[in-house]
Amino acid sequence: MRIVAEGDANAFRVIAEALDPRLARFFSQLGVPEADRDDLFQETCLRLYRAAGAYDPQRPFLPWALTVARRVMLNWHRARKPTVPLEEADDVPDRRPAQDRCAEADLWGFARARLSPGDYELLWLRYGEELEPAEIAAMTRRTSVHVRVLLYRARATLARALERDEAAHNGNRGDT
Amino acid sequence: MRRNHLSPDTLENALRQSAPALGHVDATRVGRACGRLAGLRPHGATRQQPHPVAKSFLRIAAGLIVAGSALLLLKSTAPRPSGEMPHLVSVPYFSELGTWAGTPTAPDALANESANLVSDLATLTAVLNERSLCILF
Repeated sequence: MRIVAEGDANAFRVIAEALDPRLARFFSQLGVPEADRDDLFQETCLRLYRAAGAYDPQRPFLPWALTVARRVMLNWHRARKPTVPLEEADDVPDRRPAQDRCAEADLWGFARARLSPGDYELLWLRYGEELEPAEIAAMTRRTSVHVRVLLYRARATLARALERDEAAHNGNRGDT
Repeated sequence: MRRNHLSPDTLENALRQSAPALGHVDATRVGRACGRLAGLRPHGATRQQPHPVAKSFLRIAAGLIVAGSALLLLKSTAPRPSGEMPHLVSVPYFSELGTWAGTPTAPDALANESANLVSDLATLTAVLNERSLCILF
């Protein structure tokens, strides 16, 4: 990053190549459609490159890059937030992907369908991206304790949902 | 999927293990992203981190400035004895001023004395007014 900060755009290609699969998975997991991931990746790279001089080499790179990517994604979410008049709200179709509407075989899909977007994001950052609570706290502008509490609650909600789902599944099997 | 024994550790391990694997690098996307950077320069590329010794010097200088300011503040707020206050032995009542001013029948010496006293009182009143106004404003 020090070389990039001196204005070497070619050196940034190595970083972009390392980040591409990470950010693609990050955006995918946090609900960005495939059509928009390219734009978000480009915008994130642009911001990382412009802010290269502000990067502190003493700190790990990935949380910093994910923080920038997350802000880009939040701006994107904000810009495309649909607004519908109240009287027409009943007619708005459910635009969640079909995989979210039904309980999935895979755990992350199940979690996405059951948890709030904020809880899901925290779980993903902790267990998907393997970030420490302190890093998530810096990223989401919360305290470390707050992040730990939110993670605990998200895990508890998910565990309850899994147990309910298991009980319902066993009940259905028992009926047949 | 078996979901028995959902202890926190089990759930954490299950979440870690079921995270989707990373995909391949999309060279086209990377190329497009890097293409946008051509001709741009990072912000603050010339910013240098301060030397650790310089940091220490800055801290010491800041400490000295703070200590000096505190000393100056203490000096300026310390109570000082009041300087040239007029020495007043006794101040007559202002209500008697009219009677003193209106006594033309007194002998010359007394009249002069009275005139002096009136003049002194007027001066005193002016000084008092000035001092009290200084305190107020």
